[in-house]
Amino acid sequence: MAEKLYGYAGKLLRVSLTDGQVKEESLNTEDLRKYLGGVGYGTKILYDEVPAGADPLGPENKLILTTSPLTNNYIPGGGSIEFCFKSPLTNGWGESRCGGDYGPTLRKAGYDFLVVEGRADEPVYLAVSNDKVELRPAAHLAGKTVTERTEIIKNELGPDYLTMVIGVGGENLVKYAGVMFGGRSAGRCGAGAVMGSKNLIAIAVKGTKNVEIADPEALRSVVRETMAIIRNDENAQGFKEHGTVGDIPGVDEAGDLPTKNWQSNSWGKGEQIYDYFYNNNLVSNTGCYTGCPVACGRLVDVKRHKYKTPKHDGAEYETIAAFTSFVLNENVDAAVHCSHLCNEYGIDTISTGACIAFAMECYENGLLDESKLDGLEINWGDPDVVVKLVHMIAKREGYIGDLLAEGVKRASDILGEASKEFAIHGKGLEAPAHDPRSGKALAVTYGTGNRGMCHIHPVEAMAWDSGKKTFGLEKHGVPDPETVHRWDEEGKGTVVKVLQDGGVLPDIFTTCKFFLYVGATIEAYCRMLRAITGWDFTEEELLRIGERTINLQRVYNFREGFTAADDDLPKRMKSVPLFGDYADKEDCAIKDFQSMLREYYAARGWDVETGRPTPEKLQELGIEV
Amino acid sequence: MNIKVKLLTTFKKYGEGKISENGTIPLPKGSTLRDVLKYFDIPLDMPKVLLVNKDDQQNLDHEVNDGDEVVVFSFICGG
Ligand code: SF4
Repeated sequence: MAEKLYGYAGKLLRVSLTDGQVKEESLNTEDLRKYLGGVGYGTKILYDEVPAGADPLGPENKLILTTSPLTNNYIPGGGSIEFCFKSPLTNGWGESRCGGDYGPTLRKAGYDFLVVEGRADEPVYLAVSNDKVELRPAAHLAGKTVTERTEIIKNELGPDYLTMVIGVGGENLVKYAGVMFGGRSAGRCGAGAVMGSKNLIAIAVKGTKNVEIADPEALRSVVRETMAIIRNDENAQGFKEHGTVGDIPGVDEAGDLPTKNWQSNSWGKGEQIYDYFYNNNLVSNTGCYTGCPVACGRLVDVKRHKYKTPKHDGAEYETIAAFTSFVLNENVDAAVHCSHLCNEYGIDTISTGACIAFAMECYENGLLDESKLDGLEINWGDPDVVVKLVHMIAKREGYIGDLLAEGVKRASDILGEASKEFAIHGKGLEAPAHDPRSGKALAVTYGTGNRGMCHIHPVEAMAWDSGKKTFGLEKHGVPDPETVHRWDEEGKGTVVKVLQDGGVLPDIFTTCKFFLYVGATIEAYCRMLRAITGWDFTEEELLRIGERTINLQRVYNFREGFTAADDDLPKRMKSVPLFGDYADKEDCAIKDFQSMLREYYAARGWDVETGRPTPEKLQELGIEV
Repeated sequence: MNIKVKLLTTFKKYGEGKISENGTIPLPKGSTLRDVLKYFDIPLDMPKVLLVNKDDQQNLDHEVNDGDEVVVFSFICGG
């Protein structure tokens, strides 16, 4: 008899949009133990099922929604879902997390994983309720805002459904369109474009089932303990009061605020920007899932004048930075307005802001003339232009809207060699708002991040190097950050290996990563997993699952044509800033990035020249390729 | 001697009424980073990032000099 599975709903739902077929599949227990769930199990599915060289916007690509046994509202940070897919922006491994009750609800409907494949002839949306699965027509949703679509679907299905929906951006196949859950977004890498390419407009779920827990009493006790720590944690208080956007003054001082399309790592206006935001735009804090004890989300608005914006959940640190420092815009109301527009169009705020910054620099250097700009003068810092370009990108309006909807990498391929210097990305993903000249471990994670230069995976390096945090990884070989200088290069590659193996775990758990900064530890999650599944997990085993996942993603990327050359960083990011507080600080520049990478490859047990996982390493990790 | 101090976001409250208009505090010669924190009654064990003249400085015994700029903030980690 098959082993009884605790902690999992126990099923994968597979929906083929091409012929409307729906299948329930049982889970492979051996793979669960090796990859657990979230992006771990998601990587395994993508690697096994999506053929090499598949067109990310073709029917061969799959959209894989993943959860884990920790995806529950009562688990600290447990309200999340992870999307896995081949990214249309990078042509490589794509993943995107979204906070909210959606992940736990998918499990209540009876599924740990949902795989959507093929392509529908007409726009449809998917409704999943306990074991009932339905494809419904969605042509009437075309052109509507995300809020309108969500409301219409709610009216059609009933109020107890939760809906993830694409907007106009996804419909128009903007390469960095996201999938929206209210004001929350699976934003990066273009999951929304993948849905758009499949003619899938939304996925709604509801459910009432419970997942059986192996040892409820042990689970209650570790959750209670961890929650008590979180409630008293200083950082949790800071997160609650100031949200992620409260980071702006600090990162500006620390040389961690990419400014003017990365010409500098500081702006000198961080405090001014944040003070305005705090006093004028912030309405209150909010949690992205029911029961979040940290509730770092921001409800924001613009009360008057031309950027008047209704109250919405948005304006995170990355978003505000993307629409202020990236483009030199000092008008915070306009930035908040852009946050709302991106939410309603369903496009990624980081990539959108980065694309606008790229365009402004191209314009300044004569690489984009007015004939390509519909008469617009796209000068640095002009808030009206920033707002206008957001609309144009989502609608692919005019030459410039269509160009920027492709992302900076493709846009620079089109505009030519001279524009490459201004295209700041890793593997095709636009760089987020943290600068490795503030702490060089971040450089290694930026270069080697499997989904490209993102704001989720690299943060553990930054948190260690600049933030002096270890999240309980000292016992696994992470040195005391207080003994390390943020601008040292030697040793960073080695530590990053362990930081990544631990730092990828929240995405495998589908828990919110911030909980590792506010008192939850890998040890606590390990205890929770033991209680939930009844399996005798150890921390070492979990780190191994992290390592295995990272290796399989790397193998996937290499299969899709990536090489070690794709681990390099844009030249500008490694150079002494052109202006700002750090313009005279030679030491912040990254001197020998290739040596840092080689040290990292060695720590990973990869070929130090090619950066490729060796057959021995793969065998050791039990990865079959 | 005078030390320029910036207390950001979550640390701002510690500076209320204690920093002169030009952003400095007076401290005796030979003072350390620990003395700067004590001046503001900032608990020494509170998680924080310290920068001295933009340089990463975690050693609380580090001596500060006249005209130095000390920045204190917590790592909120905007993601
Ligand atoms: S800490 Fe913030 S991002 Fe994380 S789950 Fe809570 S509200 Fe969401």
